[in-house]
Amino acid sequence: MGHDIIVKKLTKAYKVRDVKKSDGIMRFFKRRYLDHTALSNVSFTVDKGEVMGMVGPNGAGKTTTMKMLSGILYPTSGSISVRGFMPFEKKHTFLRQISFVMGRKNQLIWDLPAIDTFRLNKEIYELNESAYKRSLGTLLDFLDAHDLIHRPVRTLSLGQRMRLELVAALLHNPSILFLDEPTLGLDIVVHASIVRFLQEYRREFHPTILLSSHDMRDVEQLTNRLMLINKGKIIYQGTLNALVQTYGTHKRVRVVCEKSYVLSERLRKLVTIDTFPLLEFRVKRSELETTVSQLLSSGKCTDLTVENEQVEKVIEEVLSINSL
Amino acid sequence: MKHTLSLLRLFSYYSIKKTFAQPLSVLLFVIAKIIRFALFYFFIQYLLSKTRMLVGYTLAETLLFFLTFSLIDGIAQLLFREVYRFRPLVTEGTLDLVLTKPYHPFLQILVGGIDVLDVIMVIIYGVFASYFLSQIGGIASMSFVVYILLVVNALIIAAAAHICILALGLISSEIDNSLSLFRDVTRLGSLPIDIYSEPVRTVLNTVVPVGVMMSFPVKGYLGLLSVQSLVYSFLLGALLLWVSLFMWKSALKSYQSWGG
Repeated sequence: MGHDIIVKKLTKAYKVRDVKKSDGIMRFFKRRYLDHTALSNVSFTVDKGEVMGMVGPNGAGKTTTMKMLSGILYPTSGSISVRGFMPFEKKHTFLRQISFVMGRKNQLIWDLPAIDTFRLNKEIYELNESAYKRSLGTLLDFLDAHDLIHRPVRTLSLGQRMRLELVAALLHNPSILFLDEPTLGLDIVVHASIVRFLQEYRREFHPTILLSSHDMRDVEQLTNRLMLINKGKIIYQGTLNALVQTYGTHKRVRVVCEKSYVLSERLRKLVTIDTFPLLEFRVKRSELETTVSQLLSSGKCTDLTVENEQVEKVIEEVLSINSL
Repeated sequence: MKHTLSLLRLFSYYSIKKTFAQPLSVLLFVIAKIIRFALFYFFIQYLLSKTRMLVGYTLAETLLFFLTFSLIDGIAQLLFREVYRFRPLVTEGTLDLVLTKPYHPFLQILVGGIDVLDVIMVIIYGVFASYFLSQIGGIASMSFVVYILLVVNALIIAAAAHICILALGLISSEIDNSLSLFRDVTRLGSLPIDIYSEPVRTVLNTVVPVGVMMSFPVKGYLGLLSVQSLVYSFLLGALLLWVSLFMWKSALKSYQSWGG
């Protein structure tokens, strides 16, 4: 399978004005700028039809990467090829193939019903009437949003708006999709429906997706591969499972007790949840066997499960190692 | 081209739809514009009723200068109204979504918000200007062609100025003050540029080309411009447009995309 996105040694440095109070009035005449490196020497590829997750703390460089890949920002150095195009050239043939969804930003016309934005997008992407109707119908069915499209956008809730944002972004059936925190601020029900929709959409149309999210449920349920970014550098690239296997130094042991009993000093230090009858322990891999035997030998457990550590914890650990 | 025009039609249609969503604002806007226009019109009439001539121009000619200024200013506002709404687009980061669409961004951020209310005013200015153009006798029909070409040239300069403002907005998010500055400076052209003494007049014909924009069309119509001046004004228009496009391209490279 070919690469849809090829990024080599990509760097983006922003100019930030350096203002010192001690400069007094002279700061208006003598301007000093510092380079803030948002992304440093980053290389990666994304295969056709693959869903790549981008994870990292705020300011890590995820959105900057996506903005350079979609042609919004001009790279300081390095090379980008998306479907053979250099994004910043903004060739219309390239722009017709992509779509960018930002959880915090609106492409729907605020004062008008969403159907007006859809008609505008039909013209922008030069869709013929039948393709437009088919695409719109399918997306509205998927997202159960038929009854929302004639209401002014400003009267919709965030969840309703997000569903329509996705319709607007996908109407032209883009082959490359940039999703920047698409589930930001959504309640649990809408969140689940958006993730379900993206799964179905992916199965049906096989687009290449770059997804950034702080919500690990999105990453777990939607992506094939993960890229961990911190301070403008990629610190991990691979599958989620491999990440947990490599960096997950602990396991979660969950025990359901028959009745309350006194834990030894060593076990008490490992407890993370203690809500009778459930107990949860965070155990080092090397001590797993001893701990499990100790728990079982007490004879008071009715159920015992061993699970991988939560992805958030593993990522937190990797990030903390790389922050040192 | 067909695609571009069809998009422009849709942007304009939605802009009109948004405008008429607030009918009271529409009414107040039009009344305020008409009052301002009428006051200045009568001010010139009053002024020339006392002095007969203004730097050698008759009442009809002076009013033609004012009407031509109003016409160019009105058309510029009609066409480039969206520039006035550019700042929130930059600061909220919504511009990013415009930049990922397969059309030239100017289609939306420069001419995408045609203001229907200005159409009403432009028609009024146009009718008055036509009346005074016909009132000035002894003018060859070629002069009218020169007048139209110089008005178009003035609009090209206005477009260049608005593109420079957009470029500045892209790198600094500063729009409102630049626009106010542009409006204030162009207002200097509401009367013949000859009323200003040197070196202000030269500055207004070169560094800040208000004279070329606002006074040259009427001067051309009256046959007061040399061939060199005509060539200079068209070259200046082309140069300013080129500089503005260069500034826009450079600004795009420096754009930092605010708002996350």
